[in-house]
Amino acid sequence: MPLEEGLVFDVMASAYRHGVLDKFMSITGDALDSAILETGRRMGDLVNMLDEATERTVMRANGLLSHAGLLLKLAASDPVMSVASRSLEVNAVRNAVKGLLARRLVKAIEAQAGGGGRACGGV
Amino acid sequence: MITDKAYRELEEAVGAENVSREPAVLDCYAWQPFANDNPERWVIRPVAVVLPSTTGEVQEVVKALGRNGLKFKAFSTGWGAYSSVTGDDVVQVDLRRMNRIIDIDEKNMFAVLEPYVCGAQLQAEAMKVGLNTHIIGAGPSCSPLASATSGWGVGWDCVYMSYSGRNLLGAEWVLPDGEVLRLGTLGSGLGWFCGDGPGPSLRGIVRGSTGALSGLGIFTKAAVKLYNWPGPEQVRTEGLLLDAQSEVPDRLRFCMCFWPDRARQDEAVYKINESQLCYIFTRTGLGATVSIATPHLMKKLTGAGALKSALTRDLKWGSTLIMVADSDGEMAWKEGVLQEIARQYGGVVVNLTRARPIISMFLMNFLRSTAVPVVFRMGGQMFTALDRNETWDTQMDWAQMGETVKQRWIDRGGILDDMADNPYMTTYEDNCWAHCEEIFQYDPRNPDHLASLEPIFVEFSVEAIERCMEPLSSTDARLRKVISPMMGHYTSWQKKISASVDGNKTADTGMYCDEVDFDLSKIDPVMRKRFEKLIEARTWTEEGPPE
Repeated sequence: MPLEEGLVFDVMASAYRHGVLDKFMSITGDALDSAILETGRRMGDLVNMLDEATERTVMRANGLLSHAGLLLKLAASDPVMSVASRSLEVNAVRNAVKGLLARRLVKAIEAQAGGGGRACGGV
Repeated sequence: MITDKAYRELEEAVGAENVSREPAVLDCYAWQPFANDNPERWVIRPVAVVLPSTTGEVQEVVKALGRNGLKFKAFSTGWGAYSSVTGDDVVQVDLRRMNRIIDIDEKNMFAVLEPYVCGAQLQAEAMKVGLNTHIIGAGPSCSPLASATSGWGVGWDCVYMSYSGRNLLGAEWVLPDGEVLRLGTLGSGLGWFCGDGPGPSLRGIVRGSTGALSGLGIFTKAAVKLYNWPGPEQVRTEGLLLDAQSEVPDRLRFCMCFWPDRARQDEAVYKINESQLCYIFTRTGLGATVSIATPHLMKKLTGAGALKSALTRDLKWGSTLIMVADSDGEMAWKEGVLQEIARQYGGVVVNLTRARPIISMFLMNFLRSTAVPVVFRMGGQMFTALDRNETWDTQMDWAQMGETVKQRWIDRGGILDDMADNPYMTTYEDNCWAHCEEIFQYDPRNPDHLASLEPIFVEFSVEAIERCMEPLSSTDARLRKVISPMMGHYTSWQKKISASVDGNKTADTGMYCDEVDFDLSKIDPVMRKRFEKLIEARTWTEEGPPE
């Protein structure tokens, strides 16, 4: 299902109403802290890595978003967000989400750092 | 051209080591980082540069220049081409040796400064005693005295710390004839606490709407109002700009708010401001934020329709704010009010304070306005289109008009694509009034971009006049000549003021009241017709405004 205008806002609004946004910001903060600690990078490095994302990565993210209409519509619904909110109150779930996010971040950082190393090595 | 006699007199005034007419030195003053887009208009080499260190030396310099038929242009911390000279036979008076914070009056909440004190320096000292200073959008390297006495003065903290000209509590002013005038209580020997009186205040003459940009003399000391800072004596920070990491004070919240549409955004902004929640407030063009923080990513987003749509449509109506508090109770109250406003208007509050690494990076970029120079990253240069400061609604109209104009120029390849909606927008004094300037970025090495600057300037000027607003780029002597007759011939009054303090014409008045012809023949015919129609319809007669 293609993306309708306003759907991204609707998801955020629903997440905010149910407290998911606040919980997710805390989890994101913890995951970032953990990834920064593990890789020895700084937040500025992560912003620069984002800046250097390849066109392929950007278009893949765009493709995912443009076909996520149904999923986002579901996420914007109050019952789903209410369940998500209650789930994030469970420590095990919070830790799992945080761990998953942190691992993805570390993987992305290391992949980009590795890519840079290979490029330098080839010069 | 400066004669040997005149040069010797300057040496006698400040010492030989503090005067120069070396071409390489002079050219350093002929280029400033901002608005140096047109070599013919801006890059004029001063005939000499002189560096006084005291008010007495400034007086001697000004008198020497008057005796020798030369003019002066004051320069404090620089940054914009507005501090450069605008004609021949002008000596640049560089005030960098006058760099002292003379006093911070903790009890009465003001500081007395010399011209080369910068915003960061004053903020660091003020925070030690629980106070803070307004820092303008050009950033913390700029002189608070310069904006308080001589030019503009908007910043993200205006919601709490007002506009530079409103913060001026007193000034020591070397007039173009070399005499010193002390404004307000200072003139009566009563200290620096009030910039007005006795009798009629001269602050309006000093500042007007924009400032005289050295056209009425040189300000050697000024008192500026300071404001409450409930945070620590020092915000410990490592790194710069996007590499910065700061310790975030406990009673500080950094939030981004998003609203479903403009109408609800506008109402919410009024409520947020009337509730006196903010220490920093700005409208956020999310696309523009991406273009500034990640300019390479921005270029790759061009074909990414869904991502662009999310940034520019779904999350279009956003604002960024910082709240601070003196107690936990006060912070709880502020957070509660913000939540209630979000509930009333269907908004979303993203409390970034919860994501420590993110807020740690952003904090001083907003609190000290250090982020602003990042706007130069994308193409190397930027410019801006200002209207008259007015209500939030009128400023939003300007922002939306600006986005439309910009999009046309982006589509033509005349400027860089920053998703068009890139306003530098804030409110003053809890939204008593507001500010909007539409930022556009360009590459000065690109001939198409350089060729677009003048038509964009004309288009924004026409748009402002059509809205009965003064385009705030009225420091341009051509535009001033066109708009003055539409605005009660205001330059005739400026010229009278100038004549009353500067009979000898020693000040460089190029940015203040000089006028030169605007060659309308070079403007695109459609735009020229709109411009000429406005001139015909809006020009005042001797009797007053047109019917």
